[in-house]
Amino acid sequence: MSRTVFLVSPEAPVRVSYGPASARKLDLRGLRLGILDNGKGNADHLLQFVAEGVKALLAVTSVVSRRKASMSTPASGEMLDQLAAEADFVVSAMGD
Amino acid sequence: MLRASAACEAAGVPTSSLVSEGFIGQAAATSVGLGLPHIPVALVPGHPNTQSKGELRRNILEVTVERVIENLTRMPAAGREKPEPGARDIIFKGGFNAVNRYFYENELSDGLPIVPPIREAIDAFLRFTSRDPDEVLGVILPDSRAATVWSVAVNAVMAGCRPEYMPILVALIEAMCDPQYGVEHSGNTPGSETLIILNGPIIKQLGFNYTQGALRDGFMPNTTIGRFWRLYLRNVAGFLPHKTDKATYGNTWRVVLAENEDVLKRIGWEPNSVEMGFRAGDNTVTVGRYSGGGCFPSVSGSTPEQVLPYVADSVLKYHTWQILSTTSHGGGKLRPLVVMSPIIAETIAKAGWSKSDVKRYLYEHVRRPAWEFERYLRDWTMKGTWNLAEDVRLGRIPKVFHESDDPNRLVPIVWEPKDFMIAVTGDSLRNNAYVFAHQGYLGYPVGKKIELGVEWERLLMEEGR
Repeated sequence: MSRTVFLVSPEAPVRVSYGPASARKLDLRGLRLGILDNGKGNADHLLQFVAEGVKALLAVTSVVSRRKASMSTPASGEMLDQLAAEADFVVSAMGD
Repeated sequence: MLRASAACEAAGVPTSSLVSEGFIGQAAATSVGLGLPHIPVALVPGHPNTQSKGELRRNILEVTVERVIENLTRMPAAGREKPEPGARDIIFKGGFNAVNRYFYENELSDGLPIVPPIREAIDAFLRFTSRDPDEVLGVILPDSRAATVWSVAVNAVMAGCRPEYMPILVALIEAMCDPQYGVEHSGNTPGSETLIILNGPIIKQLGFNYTQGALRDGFMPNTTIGRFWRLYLRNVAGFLPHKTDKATYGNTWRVVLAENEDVLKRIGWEPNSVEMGFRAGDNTVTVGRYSGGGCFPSVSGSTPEQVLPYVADSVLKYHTWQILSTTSHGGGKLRPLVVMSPIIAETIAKAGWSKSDVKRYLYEHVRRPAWEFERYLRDWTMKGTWNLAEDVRLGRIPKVFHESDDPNRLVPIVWEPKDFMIAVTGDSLRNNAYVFAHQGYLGYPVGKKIELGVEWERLLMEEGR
C-alpha cells in the first residue's frame, strides 16, 4: 500500500480527573502514623522497620496498622475510613 | 496498593507508598491513571523477598525512611493533563510502512504490522452493532480510559478482524470491564494471559476452528480475535511492557478456543456457555486468565475410572502457587480448566458420566497433603503467617481444609466440585487433553452473551457468508 491513508487513534478518552495530593501540613511534634500492609511477602517486616525509622526521627504518638485480606484486591472502605480517621500520615507497602 | 494511597490522599491523609526498586517505573505509570501523577513513593532497594531481615532493616533505615519523611513533609508536584487527540481525530497520514512505523514507535501496536484504522474500515465494523459508537462499556484501569464501542472497532481493524466479528468483540470488552474478571491485574508479575472460550452457532457461522489444532494460529477468526484482546489491553486499558505491564516473562496472546458443540450434543454434556449461566444455543464468550498449563498426551483407558486418574494428576501438577486463590487471600476463586479432546469426553460419557460426575471425581482426587499445600504459600512464596487451620477457624474457607491436625491429610485445591471447568474441543480422534492453570481472582472466568443485531443475517449475506 503506497497511497496515503488517514488514521484515527486506537486509544479512548481518559475518564479520570487529576486531583491534587493532600496538603502536607502536619504537626511534626505529635504524629499519628498509619500503616497499610498489602500482605506481600516480608511487607510486615519492612513496615516494622519503617515505623522504627520514622519513630527515631519524629514524635510519633500512635500507630494504627491494618493488613489487607489480599495483596491484589483494593483495601476495604472500612480500613480506609479507619486510616483516614486515626492517622495523620499513611505508609502503604509494598509494590513489588 | 497505589489505589489505597490515592484514596487516602483524596481523603486528606498524606501517604508514602513503598515500592521496590524494580517497580518504580510501574508506580509512576500507574499513578497517572489514578489521577495523581506524582503520587509520593519511597524506594525500597532491591527486592524485599530476597533479603534477610538484617539486610532489609539496613536498607529501610538507610534509604527508605529518609524518603518517607520527605513524602510526609514535601508537597508533591501537581499533575498536568496531557493533551490527547479526540476519538475521531486523524492522528497520522502516510503509506503502509510509515503508518506501521508510527504506530510501533508510539507503542500503539504489538510489533506485528497492523491494518491501518481508517474511517471507512471502522464504519464497516460499526454496521455490525446496534450500539452507539460512543457508548461506554466500562472504564478500565490502569489508564482509566472509557472503553467505547468506537475504540472496539478501531482496535478490531488494527488486529485484522473482519467486520462481522464485531458482536463478539463488544461482548468481549463487556467481559473485560466486568469487575468480577479483574482486568486491573493484567500487568501482574506472573504474566498470565487470557483465554477466550467461544460457544454457540456463531462458531460455525463465522468459520472458527473447533477441531484439530484448536489452539494453533492459522484460522482468521480464532487468531485475529485473540490478537484484538491484547491490542485492546495495550491501547485502551493501558498495559505496556516496561511500564504498567510487569510480566516477568509473559505469554503471547492466545487464539480463541471454540468448543465442539456437535460432540457435546451427541454425548449429552452441556457446553461451557450453560456452565456460565446461559442457555444452550446462545452465542457466548467466556474469558479467564491462565498462567500456563500444557497438553498431557495419550490419556488411555476405556472407562472413566481408567481415564480420570491421569487427568486428576495433571490438574494437580499444573496448579502449585495458584492455590493462593483457594485460601482466604483469594476467596476460593481458583477455577482450573480441563480441555478434553472429543474422544476422551465420549469415552467418559459412554459410561453414563455427566460433566458434574467428572467434576465430583476431580474434587475428590485432585488433592495434596496439607503440609505441601501450606509450603507453597507460607514457605516458598507468600512468607506470611497464614495457615489452613486458622483460615478454617475464622470461617474464611470450607471446613474440608482442616478436618484434622494431621499434616498428611489430603485437601482439595478448590472449594467445590463446580469450580472445575471442562471444555471439549481439539482433534476428535486423538486422546490428548490440556490443563490451563488458572490465576483465580486475578482473572476470574466471566461469560457474556453475544448480542446479534436484527440485521445480522442480512449483513452477513452482504459480507458473503
